[in-house]
Amino acid sequence: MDASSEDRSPSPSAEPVATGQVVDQYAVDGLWVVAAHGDLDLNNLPPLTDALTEASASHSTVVLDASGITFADSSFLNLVLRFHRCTTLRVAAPQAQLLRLLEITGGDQVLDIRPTLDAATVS
Amino acid sequence: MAPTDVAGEERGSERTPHPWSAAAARDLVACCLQEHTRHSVGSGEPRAGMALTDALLVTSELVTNAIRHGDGVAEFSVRVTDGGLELSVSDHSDRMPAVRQRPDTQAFPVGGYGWPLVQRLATRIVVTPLAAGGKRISVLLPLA
Repeated sequence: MDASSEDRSPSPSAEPVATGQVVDQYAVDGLWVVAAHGDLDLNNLPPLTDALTEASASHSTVVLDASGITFADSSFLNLVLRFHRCTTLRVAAPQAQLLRLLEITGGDQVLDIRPTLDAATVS
Repeated sequence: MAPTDVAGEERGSERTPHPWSAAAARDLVACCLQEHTRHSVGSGEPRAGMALTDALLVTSELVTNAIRHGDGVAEFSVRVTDGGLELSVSDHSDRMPAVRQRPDTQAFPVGGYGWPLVQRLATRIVVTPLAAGGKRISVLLPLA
């Protein structure tokens, strides 16, 4: 695909759905990706909560693209654990800070963590 | 004439509101640590980075706990001492922090990670009930 061309695919894929600055959503190879950005704590989790609620209601597998998360605390971990229970959730490309949180809390033992988005979107 | 006959009321009136959010507290801690790192000689980059990561995490947990369970943050302070980074968060609740009991059937329940996380990373935790009500939680985090 020409990288410079604008992708006007008629299917609801590859075109990020604008849901505010904290969260983007798009489809990759039939999987629904929710991409979170920035510093996440109790104050600004609601957009991500809404996005995951919506995504898990209509998709059996949801990929959380964590590559844009620059900070997350246990409020974020609680949210992810909540959705891990009710849907197949993959956490893709967490940065060092998030990996540290997951290591300290033991979250890395229970969550499906993939090193890259590509690794998270293989079926 | 006695200056006051209701000590608690006087203290209450002197208490100024501190509208601390977890993000504001993290910013202050990051500033404090970066200032310290700039002036200290021989502190390894990786170790300084890890200390900052852990300090921001503990700050976020303590301030979030104060907001969620302590009726809000009354005071927040951060300073570098010989022993490490000292964080101090006061709230308006007399309830002491506690580790939530986990049923055996739930290996990874939702909730209850914040305080154990603080306990794991801090080298010292002091919880002091305040005379005017509320409590202060002071924690020391290693820097070296």
